Amino acid sequence: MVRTNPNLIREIKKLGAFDITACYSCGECTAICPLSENNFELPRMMIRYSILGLEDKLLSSPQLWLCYYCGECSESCPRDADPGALMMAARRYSIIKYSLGGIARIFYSKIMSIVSLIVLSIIAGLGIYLFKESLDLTRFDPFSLLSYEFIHTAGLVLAVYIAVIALLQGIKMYNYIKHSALEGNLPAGTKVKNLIKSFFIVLFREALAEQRYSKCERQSRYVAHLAIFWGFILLFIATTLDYLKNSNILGLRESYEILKAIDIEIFGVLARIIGIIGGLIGVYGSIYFIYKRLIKDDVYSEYSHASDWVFLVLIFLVILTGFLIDIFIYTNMFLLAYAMFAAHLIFAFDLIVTAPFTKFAHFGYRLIAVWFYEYQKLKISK
Amino acid sequence: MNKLACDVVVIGGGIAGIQASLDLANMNYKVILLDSGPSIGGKMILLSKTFPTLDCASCIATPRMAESTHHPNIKILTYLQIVSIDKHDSSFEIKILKKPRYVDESKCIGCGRCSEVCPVEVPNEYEGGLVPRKAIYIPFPNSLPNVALIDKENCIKCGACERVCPVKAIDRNQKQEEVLIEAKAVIIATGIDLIDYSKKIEYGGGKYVNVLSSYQFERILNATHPYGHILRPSDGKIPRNIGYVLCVGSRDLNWGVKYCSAVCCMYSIKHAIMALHHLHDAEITIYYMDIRTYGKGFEEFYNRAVKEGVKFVRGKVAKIEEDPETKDLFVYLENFDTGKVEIRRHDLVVLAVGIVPTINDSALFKAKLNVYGFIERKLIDVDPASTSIDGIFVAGTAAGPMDIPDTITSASAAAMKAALYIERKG
Amino acid sequence: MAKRIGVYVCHCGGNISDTVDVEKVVEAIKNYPGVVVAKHFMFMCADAGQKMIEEDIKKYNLDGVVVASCSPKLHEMTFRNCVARAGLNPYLFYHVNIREDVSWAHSDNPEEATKKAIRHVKAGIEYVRHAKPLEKIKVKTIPSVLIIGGGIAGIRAALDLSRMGVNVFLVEKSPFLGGRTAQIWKVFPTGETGKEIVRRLIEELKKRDNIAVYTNAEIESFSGFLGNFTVKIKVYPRYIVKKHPRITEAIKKCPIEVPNEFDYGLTKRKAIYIPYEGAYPDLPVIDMKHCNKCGECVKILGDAVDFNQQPQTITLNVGAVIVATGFDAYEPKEGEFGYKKFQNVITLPQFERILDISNNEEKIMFNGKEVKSIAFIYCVGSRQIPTGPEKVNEYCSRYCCSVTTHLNAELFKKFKDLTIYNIYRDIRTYGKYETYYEEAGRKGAVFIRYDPNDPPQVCAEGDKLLVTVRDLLTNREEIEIPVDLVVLVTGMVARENKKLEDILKLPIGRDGFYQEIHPKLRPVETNIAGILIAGTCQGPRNIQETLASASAAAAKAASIVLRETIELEPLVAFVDPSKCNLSKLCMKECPVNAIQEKEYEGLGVKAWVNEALCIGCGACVAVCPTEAIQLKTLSTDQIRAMIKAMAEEI
Repeated sequence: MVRTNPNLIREIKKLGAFDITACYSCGECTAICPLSENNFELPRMMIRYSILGLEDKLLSSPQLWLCYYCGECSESCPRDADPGALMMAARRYSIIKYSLGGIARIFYSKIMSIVSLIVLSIIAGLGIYLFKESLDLTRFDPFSLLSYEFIHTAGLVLAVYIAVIALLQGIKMYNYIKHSALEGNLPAGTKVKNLIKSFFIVLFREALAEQRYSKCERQSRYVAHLAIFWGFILLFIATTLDYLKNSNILGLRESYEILKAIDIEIFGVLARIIGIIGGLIGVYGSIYFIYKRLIKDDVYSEYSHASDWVFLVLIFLVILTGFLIDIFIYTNMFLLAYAMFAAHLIFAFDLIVTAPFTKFAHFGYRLIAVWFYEYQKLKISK
Repeated sequence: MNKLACDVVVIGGGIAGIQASLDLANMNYKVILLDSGPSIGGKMILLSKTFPTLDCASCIATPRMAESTHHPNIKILTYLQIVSIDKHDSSFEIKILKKPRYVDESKCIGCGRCSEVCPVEVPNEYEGGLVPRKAIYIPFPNSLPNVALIDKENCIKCGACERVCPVKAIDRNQKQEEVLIEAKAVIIATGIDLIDYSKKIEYGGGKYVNVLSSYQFERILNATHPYGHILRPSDGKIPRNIGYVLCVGSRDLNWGVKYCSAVCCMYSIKHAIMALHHLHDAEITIYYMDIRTYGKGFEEFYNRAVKEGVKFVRGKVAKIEEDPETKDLFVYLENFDTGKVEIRRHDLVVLAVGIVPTINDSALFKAKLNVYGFIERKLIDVDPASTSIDGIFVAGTAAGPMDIPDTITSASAAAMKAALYIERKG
Repeated sequence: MAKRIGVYVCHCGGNISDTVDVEKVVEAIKNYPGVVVAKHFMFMCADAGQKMIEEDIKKYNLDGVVVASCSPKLHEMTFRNCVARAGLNPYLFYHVNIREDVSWAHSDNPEEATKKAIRHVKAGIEYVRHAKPLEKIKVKTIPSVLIIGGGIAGIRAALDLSRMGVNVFLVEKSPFLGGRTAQIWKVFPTGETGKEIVRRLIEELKKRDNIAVYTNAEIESFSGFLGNFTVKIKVYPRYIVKKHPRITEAIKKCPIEVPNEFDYGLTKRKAIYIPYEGAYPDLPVIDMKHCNKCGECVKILGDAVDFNQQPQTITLNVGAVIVATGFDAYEPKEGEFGYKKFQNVITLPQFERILDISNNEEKIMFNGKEVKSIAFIYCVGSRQIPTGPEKVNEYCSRYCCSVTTHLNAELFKKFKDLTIYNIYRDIRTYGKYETYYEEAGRKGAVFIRYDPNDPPQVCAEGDKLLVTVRDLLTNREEIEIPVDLVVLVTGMVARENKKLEDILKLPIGRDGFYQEIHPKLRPVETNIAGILIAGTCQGPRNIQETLASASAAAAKAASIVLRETIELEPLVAFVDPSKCNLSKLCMKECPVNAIQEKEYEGLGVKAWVNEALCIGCGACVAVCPTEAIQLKTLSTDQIRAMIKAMAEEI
């Protein structure tokens, strides 16, 4: 027995599902959805939970995260109720609800998210200003802006921050979706085996290849989405390599013979190559989505929320400033390169701090949901 | 130019137009009944049986057609095009263009020998294209006037028909003819057409041979059935498992119309019951969202279908796929009884295609149309036969989707209003 | 006696020929005595078939025609007219039914069916052989129409007929016109109030001088025949005999307060009252059941009040009657969805009254509390599932879905922050009414589908209600819905009107509503010639449909009474005075008192049939000891010959 609550749909409607109450429950969306599967039907049941106000049911549905918003449901909806928008809005609602203390709410208001971004940027800017070293203007040496130790510590803090929040929010989410577990019990050994097996399925198929997304009709979107993901990963690798090259950590080399053989410069070259590739595809992906959201020619891009913009714009700026650093280095405009570096750090800081609450969070929640779903599938396939 | 005069011009020779004409004629008004097609009778005469009584449609429509043909107060003109309708102070002037049949209507005795010898075969639109007709043809067995016409576009001018015609009725030199009718009032009874379901790509867009429109299935079930039995078109096998998809184009903002077509639920149930009578052990499944059996005796009819074994499954069919080998069909839907997405196989799928108004030239009819293209009824809550123009009245489905009883009632009401208008009493 | 008979056997496009071998039938009877031509044809009723018969009559000089086809109910008239066009007396024709009686009944046994068809056709030939030419009976019509029921159907029909120059008597049982429409808050599609619609019709009515309105009146007796009925009506006193400028004051002064039935008791009225502002006639009525004759009103109104007014009987002569007595709203049983068990469970008509009464408020108030959430439960009293021998309303009430979804949309338009749940079975917003369903949803109405075998339960939770239902749209999830008000969407039921039904002998269908003769061929006529039905007394329908049916009934009535004379079928009895021995048995048996005594020249007093009254039932024929009384269209000789032919070996 569950109780209806008229306020849920009012909240969700504010998050983007403007027409959803026009739904007359025909099921066409669910039957047409390429990602809908037995026991994990979507999107119609999510619509029902939202309209009836069955909040626990909604938040317990991994289906929300199994959806990639292909838009086929919205395109075929006979009532123009836009089920895809409901799924998106419900995900936004879930991000708020799963977030610690509901803090993510900030990023679902235009004004609040701009204010918080400004505040974050000021904090980052102040940090750079306060801890800055003396700039070496004859060449580009990042550690002449901020010391190695500072960057190291700050990076560590941010990494811990992300890890803790991701863990806490992940647990919160899991506590909800575990109610959607299918009936049946398996022996402990099989459980572990399935858990590992489904983890690798998630890692390779979902995280790295976004295979489910490729079932959507619009392949260009799938490519762009994958481009953002891989652009981000590659840039992360490039940044790490670059950092490794420039950091004292390679002092370790002195201690180990085998490491001595490695030419440090190879890190730089690799970082450049990977960085350029990653940057290009990342820029492509983010520009694709920014463009789509500006021209609104597709069902999924018709309505954009503050959180979508925060994520897209930040990732774009991070990549852009990263590129510009390199350009200014090669053109010997070191002062500008430093400025860009500072901006790059600020945007990266903003991106990382807001990540658990904006669209970035999709990545994490989706992986948990898909892992859960793959695990359940293994459970019934037995 | 020919000139005619009468009290009321009724546009549209379907059951609504016929009923309105008969009512007016019985009140002693002179009526001219116009039909753009080669025969009066409209959609109803082409139906098999009518719900919920299951009496045959031609048994009801044929005598009405005959009565209107023989009524001294009614003149019928067919195969024509309305050129203009103009309102003057106290009268209307309707200009029509009578299209040439290339067969002399006054001579032809409807023996059909010409069709027998004609070598040209084209899809028969009256049979939903399921079987061919000839280039010279009588539209359907009980057409009125029961005379042949030549389909000029397909005629190869071989002269075979001229040679066999016993009364020398074929006249290749017939020209179109303008006729001007003066009338005191006008009734619009232009009726409906089916929604073009080829727009629904997910249903095969008319490509799958074993996906029939409800009209085609209606013809298959008809007593004068084109196949002589219920057969599926691809291989002539008797279908054992028929799927019936409701709301094809109706209630669908995506590619169809916003309104409900008001008749599909009932005709689909009728088809299911009739099909079950022919194919005793067949499985018939109707996929629906809401069963709208709202009229007198309709709910009882629905309950009867359930008792007789027709399966009703709630869920809108999202797409249909064809097995390229067997030509069997697979329908995709979310079944609300199980909560699962199901893919179900059928030998034959019938689409309950919704209805749209036939009127496509609003300027011509003068009377205002509503957003769906039906005639707008001005004083709908006190006088449902009225239109935006005084003296023009609307009958039947030209005003919106309705079933046959409602159509007949609205036609009688329109006749009453036209009579009152002519009398100007009040 | 016909000697040259033509026989025509119809295929009915397979309806007959799929079972009956029509060629064999033709073969079997073509040499039967008297048959000069026998043919079969695809559609005998089609123009070509009729033409064939006409030509044959002329060509073979036929003096009798038999058509074997469908039921005579459908086409007897068609073929009678057909033979008449060819110059043959239409009563020298017989219609043999080999479809309903033969092919449809014996589709499993074609051989026997064919034999049966042959027997029937032979009997038909014998009928024609013994038939006599007859003439139609001509009756003068009275150019007046009686309309029973003063709701919108009755008023609409009255207006139409009146404009055609027909005198109308409009008889209403209650003291005021307007019926149930006036009780409605907002009417689709225009959103006007019901009262506004009634007002517009009444405005027109007031302008007519050939409509006589009798309120507080009932039908007492009814006799006569098509074109010439005599009806006695009883008009009960109003006790207010004329208008007076101080009427409002007098009503205020009345000390007695009783629940106002117009508002389902939600408001009070006085013993002297007008149920709502603008009611017509704009003359109050005194409700003698409650009046204590205190005289307060007399003090103000003086001789406008007449306590001694007596019921009056008026005799009306009319050519046709339109019955437009309307419907009753279904009254839920006690405890049905919590009705009468909880105060805040009400019916849709009651809710309409609440909304209408508080039309100027910005909130919906009920029992002094604001209503912020409403649950509509659909199909209450409609689409009932039979569970035992008890009769249930199996039918769908047709109008409720459109009305309620429209109401949803109107409520959202007027009141902010309202939560509405619609607990339904199927939403039946047919035709353009679908837009109301869509609009309601788009504005936020929630729709929940219930299984009639597991209906929603209503119980109390504090001063709120809790509706528990399994939602078929949400995997049968059991959900609890807390609401302030539950509105039962009650359907229409046939009105209790036994007296009128007995007097007019109205045909009643299985659903309790009056039955039309044929839903498609003759949707507003009954099997009693001259009695027409309009509006919701025939079955549930909405305002537009009611008005259309009223105009259609008016058209039929006009076509009866506007002709000076009408022709009746000579399907009547007649007396051969030479055989009659005046046993008077026939007179006792006749259900319509059509047989009287009459002086015949040279034969003395014998029985005589008033043809205009006779209904051709044949009861007299059966009792006549001397076979003196016979039906014109079916004599004893004919019956004997037909039986003989039928029994013959094949």
